Amino acid sequence: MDNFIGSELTKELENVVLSADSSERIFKSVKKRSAAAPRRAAVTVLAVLVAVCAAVSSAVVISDRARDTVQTEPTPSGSPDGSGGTALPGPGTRYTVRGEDLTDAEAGEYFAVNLPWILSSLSSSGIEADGAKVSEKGYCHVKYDAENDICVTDTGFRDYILFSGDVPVAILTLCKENGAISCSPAFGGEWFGAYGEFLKAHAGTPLLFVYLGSVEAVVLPDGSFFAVSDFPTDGVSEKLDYNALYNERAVYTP
Amino acid sequence: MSGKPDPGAFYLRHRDHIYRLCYAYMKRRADAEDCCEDVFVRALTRAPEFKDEDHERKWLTVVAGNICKNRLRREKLLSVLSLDSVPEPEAPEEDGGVLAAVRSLPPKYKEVVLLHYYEGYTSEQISQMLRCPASTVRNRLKDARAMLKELLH
Repeated sequence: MDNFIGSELTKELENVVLSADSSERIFKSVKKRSAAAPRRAAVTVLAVLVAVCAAVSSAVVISDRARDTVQTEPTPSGSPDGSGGTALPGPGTRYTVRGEDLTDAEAGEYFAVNLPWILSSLSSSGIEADGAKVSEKGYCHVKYDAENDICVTDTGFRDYILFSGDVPVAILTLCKENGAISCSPAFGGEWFGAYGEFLKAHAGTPLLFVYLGSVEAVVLPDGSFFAVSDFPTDGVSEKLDYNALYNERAVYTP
Repeated sequence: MSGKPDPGAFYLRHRDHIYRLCYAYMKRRADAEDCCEDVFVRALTRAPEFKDEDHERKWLTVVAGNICKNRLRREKLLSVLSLDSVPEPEAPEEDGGVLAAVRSLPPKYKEVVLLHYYEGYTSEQISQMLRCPASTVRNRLKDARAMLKELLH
């Protein structure tokens, strides 16, 4: 009886696997939830400091570029989308940079040591990773926070595309925290094929990577964009203001 | 082995094992996926420094069991409290006989069965993981075997 229970359970469970899409979805959510846990404490501390030193609050925002010289055309929406869809930056939007600075050189050093096990792990998950190469240049994301009307570029998270030949097979997100770098891969989604075609079609174009609410978008200089991972784009304007969202750290040129 | 785990490597290393364990507890894949996610969030936010891989695996196994049992308890409580609701029909899953029988056991028996027969831990190891006497573990296994024999007859 003992052997029977053990062997039957093993047999029934060994074919139970997560689909690639589910695995990716779960991991993204895990990253987001586990990153939010320590940051909530940091935001609380910051809120207390701002309340105590009210005059300092306006100086907390760090502008990393001269807004007036960059924006040359009005924002398509100009103000939060009245239809209730995803809001966009406007004339009053503030800009800030946060997080530890993670450079491509540091990423290169990290991958020189760690890429072998990353590729091995991906291969064991069914990804064609033999001989895959990681992009030398990475990109951060500009995230537009509609509630506070602020564009935040988090330099502590930087994505690098893993190519098998000229086909992207994974996105490796590096996170730098307290000087230590860690890697979180995203892979297996069905949207990778379309994403690869998009990158090929726009070789040489400075693509801007942004988050607008729940939409992760790759924006072209003319404002058209590619929604990564087939995120629903309900409520997002047909065109986005490339200049209003621009931050050079969030640019990747295929 | 020391230091906080690298999230990506950690997830890939344990994903299949934790998902299978959650699936063994829960009746629906969606619930198993939710529990699996909760296990990894707990691991990345509250895990101790692991002494070795064995410690790491045991910790995750116990956490997965606790998360699944809590969820099952919550669902049972909600179904009892919600007098007007009609129980949601379970989505048909491709279950075998033994797994379905194990799932139907009360949580404390299901847990020891999975730890012993599926994970391969001894009664002594299980007693340390669950912080209960080894005799309790052995009695539960004995009772679980009897219940399974009835169910699978």
